[in-house]
Amino acid sequence: MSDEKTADVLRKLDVLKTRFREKASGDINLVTLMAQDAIAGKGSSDDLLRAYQVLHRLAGSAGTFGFRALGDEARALELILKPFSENDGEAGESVEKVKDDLHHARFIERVEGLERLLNIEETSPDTAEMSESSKVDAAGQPVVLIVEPDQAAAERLSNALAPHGFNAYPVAPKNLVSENLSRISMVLIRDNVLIAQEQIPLSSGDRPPVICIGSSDTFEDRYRLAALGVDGFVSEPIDVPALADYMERLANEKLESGSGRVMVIDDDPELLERYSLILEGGGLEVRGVSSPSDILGVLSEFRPDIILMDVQMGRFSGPTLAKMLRFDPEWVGLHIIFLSSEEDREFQFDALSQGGDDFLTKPVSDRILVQAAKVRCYRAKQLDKLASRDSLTGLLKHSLANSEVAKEHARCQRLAHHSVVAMLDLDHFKQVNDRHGHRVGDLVIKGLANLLRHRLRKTDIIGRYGGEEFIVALPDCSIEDARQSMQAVCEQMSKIAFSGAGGTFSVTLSIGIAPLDSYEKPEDAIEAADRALYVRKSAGRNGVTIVNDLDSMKQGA
Amino acid sequence: MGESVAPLEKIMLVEDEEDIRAVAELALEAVGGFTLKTCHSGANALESLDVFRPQLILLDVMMPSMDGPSTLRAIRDKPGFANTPAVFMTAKVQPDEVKGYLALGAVDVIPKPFDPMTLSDRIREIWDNLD
Repeated sequence: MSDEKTADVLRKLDVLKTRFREKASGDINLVTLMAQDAIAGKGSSDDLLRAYQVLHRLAGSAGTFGFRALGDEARALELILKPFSENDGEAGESVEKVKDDLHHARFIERVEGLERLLNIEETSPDTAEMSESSKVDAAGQPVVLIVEPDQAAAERLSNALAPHGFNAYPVAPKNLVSENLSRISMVLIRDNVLIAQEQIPLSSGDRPPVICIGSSDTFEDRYRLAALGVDGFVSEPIDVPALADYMERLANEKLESGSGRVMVIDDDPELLERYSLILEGGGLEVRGVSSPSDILGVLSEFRPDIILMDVQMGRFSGPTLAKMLRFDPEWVGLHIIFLSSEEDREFQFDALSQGGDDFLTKPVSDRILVQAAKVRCYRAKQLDKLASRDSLTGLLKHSLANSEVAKEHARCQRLAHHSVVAMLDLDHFKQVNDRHGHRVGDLVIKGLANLLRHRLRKTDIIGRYGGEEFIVALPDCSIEDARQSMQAVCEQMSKIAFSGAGGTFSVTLSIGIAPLDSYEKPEDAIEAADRALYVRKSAGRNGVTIVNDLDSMKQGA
Repeated sequence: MGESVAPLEKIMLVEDEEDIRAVAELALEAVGGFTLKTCHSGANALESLDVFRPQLILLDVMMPSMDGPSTLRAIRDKPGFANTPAVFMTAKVQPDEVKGYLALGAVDVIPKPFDPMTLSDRIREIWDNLD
């Protein structure tokens, strides 16, 4: 089949998949209702028969659309119902048995769990090539596997992680090997499973980070787990917010250590092509420039993490170009690495003193080139973050958040779309610090930051304004959609159980929102959102308020 | 092998579920290049049989009112279709169940879920192995 045709088939399959997902969601609800009736003794045997048929259908079709986990679970549930679907007629006497059996099998919980499995897609090899491998589900949440022989404990942990924005689901140890790693962002595994298997039961290579849950915590245990290659360790009892934060950090490190944007400047088109191919093959984004006079244009458009540059390109000298780039304050921090066969120390020293940061001596092996570029990209991004990101939460700092909001305001004018700005403030945060100490207070702040990162889109702007105050801008979003998504954040936040001095506690959140593009200046919109926030604070907190001066605005609501 | 087998072109699929019919259309028409007639029920299949004259019939096992096995029995009773190869598609594939389906006169059983990108290959394989 031609590529074009394959792409067409895959696109159509995608449409069918979306349709299936919607329908399956309705089916799951239906089965839940019927099972609830059966357990309450209200159902007829017909209901169970129908539930059985629906599950059978899901079992047979889900896998075709890539929802293998859903199909498997539906099949297991179908088998539980099978005995009841067969003895129709004498259903009257077995009502108690139905109740018992369904209750015993935790049938309702498992049926409800199907909904979550709808978010777990297995991409076929064909589609994996076409689309970017996605380690997140449709809602943008990372998928986390919990390998915990104690089913109840696994369910509890999965539920506790949900408010933090992690879509975690239990998996049996023996099934882990067959999991499609490309959709997994992290694995939580019970220590005795690891120790019994004496290895991480995942193919090595590009595996997701593995965090081990240990019941005992001794030096020997930790050393043993480290030797097995686990990436993180938490001991019981699990402090869920701390675990969530840990997971967040590991996932980000993993994400960032393998990626980066590299601009390669070389006047030899063949070398340029070669470097680009090697670096792209290593997973980096590359832009090649063969003519030095194009550098400035490409720079501001591509915004690389690092530049790899030849030392001499025709009449242009690399070090002089580096010096020239540093004229512009924007590129003062840009990492510039020279690729050269020069082994003359003097020359290299000279080049560095003129604004280069580092050397790679040619000939350089492919592996080293990729590795060196990756490490430097990672470093460059870390440095950039230090300067622009809030150190506690990793969110944008106040000033940068403001300028991002201003950029979005300008984009609204240009693209004629609507965007929303929101101000967020944790309720009674001072009491949290007073009662539980600053360390716990910091965890609450981080909890909200992680929640926002998970819940919102990649394109949304999230900043920490200071203290317990946050700013969010939602590009291309109606005020009503923004209200709903912010309301969801409030609800999630209130569900997170933090552990403090006297047991667990939760913290609520107040949010004010305003339509960014309805104000002449971005700072007016921010002020309006702030006013709405204070209205919400005095109206009982914990929720979202839309600014009420919309009528007086030029565009209205 | 021995005698020259005509290449497989016309397939009939009897399946009550709309989603699966849609995927199978993609899998067998777009990917496989077959001519496919889909039927939403056994009764519908019996009506279309004489006009379409399939070379091979794919049957879902579990369908309301007339299930796959009864549909196959009814097909066998129609003149001209006593030997048309039939393949069951089902989510239940345990060895004894497969035996049961084969005893009903099916040439093979394809487990559900199937992979839409390789379904056609599987069917060609079944066709090529017919004796």
